[in-house]
Amino acid sequence: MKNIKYKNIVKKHSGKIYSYALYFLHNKQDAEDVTQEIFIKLWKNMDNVDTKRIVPWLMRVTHNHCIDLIRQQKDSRSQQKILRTIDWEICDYIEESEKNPEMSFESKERRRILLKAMQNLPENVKSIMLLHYFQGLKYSEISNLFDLNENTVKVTVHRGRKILREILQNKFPEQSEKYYEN
Amino acid sequence: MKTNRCERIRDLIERFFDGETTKKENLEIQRHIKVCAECRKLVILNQEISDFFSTLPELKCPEELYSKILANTVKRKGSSKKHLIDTHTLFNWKNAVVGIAFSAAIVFLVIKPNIGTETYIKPVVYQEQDIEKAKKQAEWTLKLIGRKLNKSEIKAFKEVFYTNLPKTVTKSLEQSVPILFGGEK
Repeated sequence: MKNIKYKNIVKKHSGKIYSYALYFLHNKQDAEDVTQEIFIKLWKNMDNVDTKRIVPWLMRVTHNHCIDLIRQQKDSRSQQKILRTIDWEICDYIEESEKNPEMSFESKERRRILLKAMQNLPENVKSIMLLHYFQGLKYSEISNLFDLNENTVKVTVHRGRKILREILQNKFPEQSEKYYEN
Repeated sequence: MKTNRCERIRDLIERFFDGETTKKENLEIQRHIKVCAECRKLVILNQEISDFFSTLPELKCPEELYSKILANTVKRKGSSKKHLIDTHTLFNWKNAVVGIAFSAAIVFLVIKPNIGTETYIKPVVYQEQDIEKAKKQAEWTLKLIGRKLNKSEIKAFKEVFYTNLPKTVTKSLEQSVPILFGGEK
């Protein structure tokens, strides 16, 4: 019974966890390691975890694992170099998954810039934006997840949008006007 | 060009993207961005960012990783044994009760046969030959010691016994250790 329950959770949520880890860490290997660790942890805690509220549990644990990994990597400069070199590889990988041939060259380019910019967002901003937009969590749910004030979550998202707006405007000062007119 | 009205609309735009504006406020934004390029830019950029995040594809967990996870958890050999000694489950109530009952059963089984019976140490029965042999050995050892001591040492030795010990003890020593003190026994 426990095995079936566990398998169903892995089948249903592994993609979600893997994607979050990959977008957060921008490294395939790290994302795979984190995903594996999360599900081993879940297996060990199956009796204690409320399976009805599995998504918040998974997201909190995944986020903490990602943060721990980033802190470990920040200690070694060589790791940061590796992250930079494989960054565009990840962009290709994500674009392949999108399978949207109708997207114009400019749109693709802007998406790439956003992908790169997302990687450089402060950790708390990146995680809250991913949880809100990508995972579809409400501000109240995120505030419960991280024990934060709902207003703090909102302000963090505003901050993230502002950073990304500035990056887009700086990267495409001329194209932007045309883009807006369309 | 930014005006005071723009400031208000920009706040409304941020609230719009948080899903907190009313229909009336939405109309107000619509009307304003038709005439204000700066605020229009803000709406379009915010929309682009919001679309970017919400349309990020949910990537499929690689097959290899999926089987690796199952191999390390569900399909792991002896996983049930491992689970039994897992620290999270070790200290739960069920295990605690089972553990106490088990140890109580062991204690009962060990003690039960001895309840109501007296335990005693069986005395060792020595042969007469052995007793004679031990006596001779003791005499010989004491003589050896006696030879090694000079007169003053013997005197001091006797004094220790006579002066420092209670009288009852020295008396019993004289009777029980006669060889050392020149007695007959």
